[in-house]
This record gives sequence, C-alpha cells and structure tokens, in this order.
Amino acid sequence: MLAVGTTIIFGVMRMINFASSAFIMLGMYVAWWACNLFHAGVYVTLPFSVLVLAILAYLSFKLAIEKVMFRDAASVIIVTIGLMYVLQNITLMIFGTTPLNIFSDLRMKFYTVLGITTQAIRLISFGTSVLLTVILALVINKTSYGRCMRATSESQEIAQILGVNAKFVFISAWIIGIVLTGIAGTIMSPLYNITIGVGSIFGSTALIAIVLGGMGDIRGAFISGIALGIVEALVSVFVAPELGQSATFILFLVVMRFKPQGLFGRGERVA
Amino acid sequence: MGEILRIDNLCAGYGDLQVLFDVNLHVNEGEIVSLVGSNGAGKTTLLRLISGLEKIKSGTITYRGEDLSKYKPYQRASLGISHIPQGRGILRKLSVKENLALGGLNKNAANVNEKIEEAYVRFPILKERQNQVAGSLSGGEQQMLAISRALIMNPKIIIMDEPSMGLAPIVVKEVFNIIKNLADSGLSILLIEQNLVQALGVAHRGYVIETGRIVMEGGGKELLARKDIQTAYLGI
Repeated sequence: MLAVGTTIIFGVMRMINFASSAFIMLGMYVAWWACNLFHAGVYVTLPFSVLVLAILAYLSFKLAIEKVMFRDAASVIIVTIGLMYVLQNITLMIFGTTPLNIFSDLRMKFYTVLGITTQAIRLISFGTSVLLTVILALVINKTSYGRCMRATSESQEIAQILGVNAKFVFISAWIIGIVLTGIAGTIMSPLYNITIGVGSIFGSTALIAIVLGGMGDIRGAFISGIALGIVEALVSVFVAPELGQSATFILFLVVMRFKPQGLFGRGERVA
Repeated sequence: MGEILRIDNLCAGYGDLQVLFDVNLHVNEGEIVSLVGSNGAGKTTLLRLISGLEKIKSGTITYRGEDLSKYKPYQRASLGISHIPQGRGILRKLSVKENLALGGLNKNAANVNEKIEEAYVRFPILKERQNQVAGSLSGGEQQMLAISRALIMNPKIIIMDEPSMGLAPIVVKEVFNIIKNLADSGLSILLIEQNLVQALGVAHRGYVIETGRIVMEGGGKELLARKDIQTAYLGI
C-alpha cells in the first residue's frame, strides 16, 4: 500500500516521493496518539488518523512541494528527502526517543489461510490494501476525476488547455498518496515498536515494488509488492532466513535485466 | 461583425530574451486570421500567451471585451477559447474516446455525448478507433481527433498552432477545408503556419511576423499576391 501511495504521486506528478517512509512513520505515531486520545483501538480511530494525515499532507504540500512541483527532478528529490528529515525530527521533538507501543488484542490472534498461518493484523492490512487498490484503480480508470489525473500526468499544459485545474489535481494526488501511505502505517502500527526510523523497514521494499511494477503503474506496484512479499517469505522459510531480503533484490535485478521498463511498464509508439 | 480577440502592444519573452515586440492584432467573429512567419518568429509564443501558458511582459489581450489576464489558464477553456497546440496536443496514453470526453470538461461545454457522436459522424475513423490509445493513431487521424476535441469544447474561437505540421499534402488540404467550414459556421479561427500558400489562401486576413514584430497585414489573398512575400517566403 505504501507502494501504491508513492506510485500515485509519481504517476500523476512525475515526482518520486522520498518522504514516503516518513509518512508511514507518521501514520504510526498518529495512530498511537489517536488511541491514547480516545482510549480506543487503532482501527476504531482510523478515520481520525486519516483526517490528521490529510491535514499533514496538505501542510507539507503548501510548505514544501508546491514550490518545486514544476521544477526539475533533482529539486524534487532534495525537497522530499529534506521533508523526510524535517518530519522525523519534528516527531522526535514531540514524542521523544522512547519506542512506543500500541496494544491491540488482535496482535495475538493468528489465522490460517490456505495453509499459511499469519497474524490477524497482517490479514487486515492485506485486505485493506486490496480494497483500497481496487477503489483507487476504479477511480483512476473510470471516473472523470481519474481521467483528469491521467491527462495531467501526461501533460499538465494540455490538461490546462482543456480546462483541467492541474494544481488541484496535484494537491489532491499528493494528499491521496500520503493518506494511503499513512494508512498503511496506521494499520501495521500494533506490530512494530514505533520509532522515528520505523519507516525505513518499508522504504526500500516499496521503492523496489514501484520500479519492478513499472513506474507510475498502480496495478503493477501492487502486484509486484505482493510478489516481493511472497518471494521474501518463501526464501526465508525454505532457504535461509537471512537471505529473504537479498532474494527480493535478486528478483529485482533479474527483472530489470530483461524488462527495464518494469513488469507492467508499457512501451509506446514513438512518432 | 464585432471583434472577438484583440491584442494590444503585446511584449513577452523568456527570461532576458524578448520574443515579441509590440504586437497588435485582432480577430473578428467568424473570421479566419492567419499569422505567418518563419521559425522562431514568436508565433507559438503568441498563442501560448493567449491560452495563458506563458506570462505577458506588457500589453493586453482582450477577449470579448474582457482583459484575459484575470483568468487562469485552465479557466480560459470555459470562456470559449480552444487551443490546438503544436504537435496537436492529444493525450497519447488516453483512448480516443477519453480524449474527446476531456473536451467536454469545461463549464461551457454542453451535450457532450451528442457532440462526441457528431464527431464520429464527421470522422468515422475515430469511432472505429474509439477505444485505442490516441498515440497509436496516424498523424492525420490525430489532427482529426484534435479538431474534434476542440469542437466538443464548444469554443467561440479556435487557435491552431501549425495544423499542417507533419501531415501528407492531401491531408493538409482536407484539414484546411475543415477549417474553412468551421469559419463558415460562425467560429473564429486564429491559426499560425509556415505553410503560407494554404494558410493565406484560406484566411480572410493575414499578418506576417518577423523576429517578434508584425511587419505586414492585409487580406489573405492580397498578401499572398505580394511580390516581396513571394520572394521572401516562397522563393519564387
């Protein structure tokens, strides 16, 4: 889901969001804060977390992204990396260095699906990401708003000539992307010790999933995210636990060797 | 007939480089106006200023009596300005149908589905290919798509950047026939071209632009008949 969030931002705005790991971390902190504020579970307070994340996304857009969105890729990379550090350190100032924990009854629940035993939270997380991905794909491919998104993604000038408010599309894509990323963090939060570095566990995998799936292709990012997860799990269990993550990189290298545009990236008629 | 578009003392450029110097021109309702000139004369910049993609340095662009500068680029489509940019400006990754549907996005457009059907009647090839990505169309088909999309926008004026570019001569002829028909139905058209014979042949009036300055204006055929223009641009 983190991959999908980053993909929509890349897909629409042609900009790679290096701050996504910071937003997954923020999703977890927001979840913790919401749980303590309302004395309720993570999933009960999810709507509140979404709202907070949307506000944070809007603020970060106004303060940082807006200034560079039409500039070159290098500025965007620097700004999003900077944004990541800023967010991490602000969080550090507010919540301190002590790892936080969210207690959830679901944490100790296990289910067996198709012979694989897994934690309830991972199932919820998987279910949510399938659901959100499907909804997102429908919105992008079938609605007028999605058409505007794709038009803006291809050429913001042509989109504007046709009457698309490109800036609005950019803001909304950024917010949707960040909120999706944050939700991923919120849902997974009971499983982790929440520290400001927690996002980096996911960061590299998400980027690989995106490139593997074909930059900007939402379906591709999702499928390759699952594929990476499966490969990592299989290798960890059947070969050696410490080789799990290396296997994902090897898979990545092999795919890039034969299909540099990514699994679902399409070539296009030039001319 | 009244003026639909009027440009007064327009100056513009990119950074320190000034491209347009004191340009004055106007387009009347139902009129085809051709702006001709060689590469780098500032023709494309002028059209981009009208649709708001570039910023004006000084001077005004007035559209139906209103100063255009108070409208953002994306709002100008709703005013009835339809810009077919250089290279036709179709969205290559979207399907033909989606391209047409985007023409109906602005607030001024009405009866979009009806108009898409009209476009299919006018150009049956578009209907045949409605679900293909627009990037797979040939140059001429893309031009038909661009014109159809511009019409679905329900414009009062169409500004066209080099409609003949990259097209076979027979297709160019067809495109200019379409342009003529559009003007006969009451639309105003401002087009810029390097293809002088076609552009001035079809135009009610024409302007010649050289390195950012309008150097001549007059009736289309009248300009075309001038000796100095023939030597400078046609090599006759």
